[in-house]
Amino acid sequence: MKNEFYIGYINKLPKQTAKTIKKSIFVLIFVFVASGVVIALHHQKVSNSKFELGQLSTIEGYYFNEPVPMIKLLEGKDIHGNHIFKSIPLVNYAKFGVEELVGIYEEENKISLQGKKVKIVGTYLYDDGKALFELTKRAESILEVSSLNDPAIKEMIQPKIEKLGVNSIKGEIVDSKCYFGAMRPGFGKTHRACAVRCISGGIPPVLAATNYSGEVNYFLIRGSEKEAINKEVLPYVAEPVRLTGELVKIDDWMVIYVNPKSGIERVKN
Amino acid sequence: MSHQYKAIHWNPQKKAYDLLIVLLIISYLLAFVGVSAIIHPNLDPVNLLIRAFGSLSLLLLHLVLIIGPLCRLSARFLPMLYNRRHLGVSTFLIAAFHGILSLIQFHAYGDSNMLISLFTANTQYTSLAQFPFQVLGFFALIILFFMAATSHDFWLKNLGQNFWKRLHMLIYLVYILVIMHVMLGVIQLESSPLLVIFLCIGFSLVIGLHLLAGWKEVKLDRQLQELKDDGYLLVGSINSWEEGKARIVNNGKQRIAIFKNGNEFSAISNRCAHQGGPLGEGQVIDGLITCPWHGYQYRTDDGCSPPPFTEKVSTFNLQLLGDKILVDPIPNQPGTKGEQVKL
Amino acid sequence: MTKAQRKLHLLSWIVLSICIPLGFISSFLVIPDKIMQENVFLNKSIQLENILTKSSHDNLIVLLRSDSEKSKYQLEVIITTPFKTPEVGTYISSSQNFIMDEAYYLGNLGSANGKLFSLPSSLVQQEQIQVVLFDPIKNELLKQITITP
Ligand code: HEM
Ligand code: FES
Repeated sequence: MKNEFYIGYINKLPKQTAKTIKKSIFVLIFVFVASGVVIALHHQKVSNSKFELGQLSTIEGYYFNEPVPMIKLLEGKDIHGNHIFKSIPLVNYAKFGVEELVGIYEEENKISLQGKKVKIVGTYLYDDGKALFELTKRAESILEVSSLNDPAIKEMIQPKIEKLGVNSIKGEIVDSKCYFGAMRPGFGKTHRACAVRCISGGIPPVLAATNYSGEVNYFLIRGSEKEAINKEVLPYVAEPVRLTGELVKIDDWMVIYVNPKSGIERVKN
Repeated sequence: MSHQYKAIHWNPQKKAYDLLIVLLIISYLLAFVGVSAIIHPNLDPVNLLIRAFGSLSLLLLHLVLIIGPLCRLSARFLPMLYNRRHLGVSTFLIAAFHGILSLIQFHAYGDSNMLISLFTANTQYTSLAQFPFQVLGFFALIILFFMAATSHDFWLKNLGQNFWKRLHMLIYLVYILVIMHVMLGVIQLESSPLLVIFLCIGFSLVIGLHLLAGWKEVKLDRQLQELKDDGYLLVGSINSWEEGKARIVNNGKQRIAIFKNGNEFSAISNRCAHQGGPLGEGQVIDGLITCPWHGYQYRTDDGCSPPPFTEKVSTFNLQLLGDKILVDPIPNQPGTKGEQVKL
Repeated sequence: MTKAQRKLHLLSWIVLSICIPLGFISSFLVIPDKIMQENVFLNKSIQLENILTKSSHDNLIVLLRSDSEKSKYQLEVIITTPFKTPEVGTYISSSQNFIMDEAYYLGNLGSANGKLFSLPSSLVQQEQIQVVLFDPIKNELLKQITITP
């Protein structure tokens, strides 16, 4: 054994060396397979969200640009006979919001979409009782816009606004597009940079707040003057934060109106 | 060897080695992707690949790092060293796939250039918990790129062995960068202790083996130094050699390998002109001193590789005193004849 | 390797053997705690104590609850595996044939835990209650369950 000498370009392994190498190969294959299994098992944070990638749908609903650009669909009547709507925020293709796209469309066609009935084509994203819609074909996603003539319908579609006063909510700022389906998982530290890109590109930021029973509540984040504060929230994305501001429920979405200078703070351990 | 630079001088050992690399890569990917697909069917397929290739490159990096000390501890691991550069290049390629996929997935298609976004999307450089961990991976990848790009013997020769060695020692920096890339990245997200334990085992193994091998070598260096009055070093009695093998002494700066080849004793530098492999742990094959690492060969009398090869190592002068062999600690010019002892 | 190179290697590893565990432990210690929002003022109703009926249907558990005086009623719907549809609206239908315009909308189901909806007692007095899960976005009937109070 002492005299064993391996030379790579001579195609022969000495006996003891061959034994060691054979054993090592088995150990290596075992370690590689076992690591693959164990590391795959350790990942836990995968959400349930869905992005219907490649599956275009057409929807028709009422367009509102407050608190964020969204389409409203009638969902039914409650026990008291009130009409209940589902609001579906709109996002653009890739990491962009739709505000600019809608602005250009309105300018080119000399109409305002606000309160109109619109027909759009795109892709659904959804999770946990919330749905979003991606204008996958960008400006070409807007197929039809029609004005409402019936005052009863105009009245019916007015947002139901419920003011809940000033409050502080602890949670994580996420970009709504990735969180609700475009990326799974679309939250947390490893997703931070991506969320920053999306919010910076105009995707509505959302505060996701988990309560002790494991439920997550979602709050659209707007400035105290109802303005978009996407740029201002960027440094706080994907971190534990506390937002303080006026809480308002608009149809089925909660909105928190935050003063970007004083209403956002990091939560320390 | 390097008389002519080809991309790869294929031989059966290298092919077997590369086959094993491919086998390991495939078995890891199949295990990881298979299990993930079953237990997390909703995981984004791109994120799945990012994770699979990221963790695979870290595993390969561990393997690359432990081969060195393993070979210092036992020569039986030497076949793993023979083609280690292919393992290194594979590690780089797998890491590059992970990095580029991450750049595209998390930074592309937005309102900023991908590479600018990598550095500016998360600016919490002063916070440990929120540190932009992707930047650490990026620097690790850049270093791996330079190492992979210069891994060929062409570069070894043209950059010089010392510079090349130093460049390739940056793998240690890569290692700590990647450990922190994982600790400040995925570990901050996932609460499972498993990956933490895995990482702990990994770096304990790597650090432990290196310290063990390093300690052994430094101790050996100390033992090998035994100066005689007239400045010559005592090697040992002529009966203490095994045929075709060397005894090693240390002149305070480097080790000297004194080989016995039949009735003839000759001394050359212990440091192979290729990557600095320990010639004294090699053997005389067909009259030529053969390096245990990649098999470069040198003539016993003048330390030159036989034509057409052009490598040279220093020789040293020997003396016989009674039945003891002594060596002059001052090297001759590389490739010049040294005084041999012939019985 | 020369002696100097060997020393450099050993030194590098001594430095690494300090730096790696240090970086490792410190980054472990700063992992932020999971933040919880204790402020549960939002549409949080309390479960009524009596369970009148309970039934399981594939990925659903449906309970009819009431208080001890039987003056208030609740429908609790627990989802075990979420539906893969954009919306899961919960409706009470007055007939076997679900027509959205004629049904009562109670609210939507998220993915987590159960949801409580209060029911007017007039509905519970009926012989049968048709609970319908319907996706108004895709116009898809997801589930129809009959409860006999
Ligand atoms: C441009 C360079 C790089 C970028 C942008 C990058 C980005 C990322 C991102 C975003 C993650 C988190 C993935 C997730 O949460 O699913 C990650 C994880 C990881 N990265 Fe990198 N990385 C880079 C280079 C590297 C290199 C060079 C290595 C190793 C040699 C590496 C090893 C890892 C490992 C082991 C993980 C954890 C995988 C897991 O989830 O188990 N990365 N990287
Ligand atoms: S170091 Fe490569 S052959 Fe000697």
